[in-house]
Amino acid sequence: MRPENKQWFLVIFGIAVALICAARPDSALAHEPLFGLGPHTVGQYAWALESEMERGHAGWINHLELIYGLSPDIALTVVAPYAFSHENRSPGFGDAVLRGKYRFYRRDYRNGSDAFALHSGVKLPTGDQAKLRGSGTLDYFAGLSFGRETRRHYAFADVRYQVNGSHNKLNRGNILNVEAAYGIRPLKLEYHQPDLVLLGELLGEFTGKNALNKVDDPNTGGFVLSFAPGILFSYRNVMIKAGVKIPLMEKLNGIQEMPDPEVVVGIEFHMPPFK
Amino acid sequence: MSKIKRFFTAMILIAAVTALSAGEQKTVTVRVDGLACPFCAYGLEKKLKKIEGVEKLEIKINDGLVTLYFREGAKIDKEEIAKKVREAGFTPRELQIEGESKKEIAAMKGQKISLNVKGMSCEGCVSRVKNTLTELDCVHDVQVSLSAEKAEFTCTDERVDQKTFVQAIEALGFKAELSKK
Repeated sequence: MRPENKQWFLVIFGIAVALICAARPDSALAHEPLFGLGPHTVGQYAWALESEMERGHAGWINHLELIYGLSPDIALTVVAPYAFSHENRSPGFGDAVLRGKYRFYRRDYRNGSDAFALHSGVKLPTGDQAKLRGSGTLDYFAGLSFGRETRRHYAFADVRYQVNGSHNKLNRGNILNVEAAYGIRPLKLEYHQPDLVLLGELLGEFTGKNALNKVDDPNTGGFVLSFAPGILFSYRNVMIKAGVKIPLMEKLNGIQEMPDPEVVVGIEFHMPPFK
Repeated sequence: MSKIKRFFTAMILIAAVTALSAGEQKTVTVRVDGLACPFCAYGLEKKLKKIEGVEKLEIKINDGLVTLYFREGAKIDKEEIAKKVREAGFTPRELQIEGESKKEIAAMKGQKISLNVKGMSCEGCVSRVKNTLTELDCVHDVQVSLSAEKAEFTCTDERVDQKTFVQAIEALGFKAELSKK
């Protein structure tokens, strides 16, 4: 590589590393969709740390995730979000998430695997709702994901449903997410070499109407279809991931603006297993 | 003897002992299925390095192979190697200790299947049947006999419909049926 190209590479790499972010509840493990769910786990007694920075309509939010492998097919995740100041919001911790994943089907073959996993979790009202750092509600979600991983290609599909609680007589609409993703590894390098995967995700989000005092708000809810290109760059046990979710079309109720694009940049570390 | 001569003699002796020790290091090669990405291989590396006696290991993702280098005199426990691979979230298929024949790890726990195969006329036919069965994901330890008109193997996945094997053989132009026990 020429010296001037090396400098640009280091600058871009440094920016990516510098943006430590907070995780969305649906953050990925290893090679998984950036905005959706995937079936991979970390292995028994293994653990991983992840930090993702997300920028959307709610400003910058950083999620710190701790993932632990109870078994080769079961992983538990704790997510601690930190919201940066935005409009009327002062910085501070938001609503924590506890999430479990059970990979109930796995078919391993040479240089690849197919897997299905069930996901479920709860979002806790740990953020200060008055300071706009949390919803003040206990929300539940469950999902099913599929993943096919080979040396060259990745394919993912998942569906997830979130039931939102109510707080101060406001009941936010439930959310159904449906996603399909494809990824490709341009260069099939070996273990102690850098690894790059390019991802493209298609996401559909169906949101129910909010209700205040059991009266539906006609200007909430609807459907948004988005496309999200992304990259996953890893070396040994460190992965840097980045993507942008771009709304393509919407069918929103009443008078609503098209959602803002979302940017996600993160770094993930796989740690040595305890035994 | 001068100090210099003693020093060089000691160095030669150390080099000789080291060379002898290195020559007695045993290697074990494991075929690991499900290994598709370097990021995931890290967990596998860490699991296998915890095995007593492992001095170093080499992972070749493109070949789906892991080679473990055991120190001289170390006890090699095949079951423990297979267990660590499973704990890491992968499937161990074959294990070969240097100097010994390849061992089908999962075959120990699979179901034995026998097919009657009619229409084979030569060793070429035998090879075709053997290769076809070997390429199927769950199949290990394939034995094909021209004289007995039989193909026997182990399948490690109970969910696979046994008709799959019959269809695979019949696609080659032979007649096949499951042997009745």
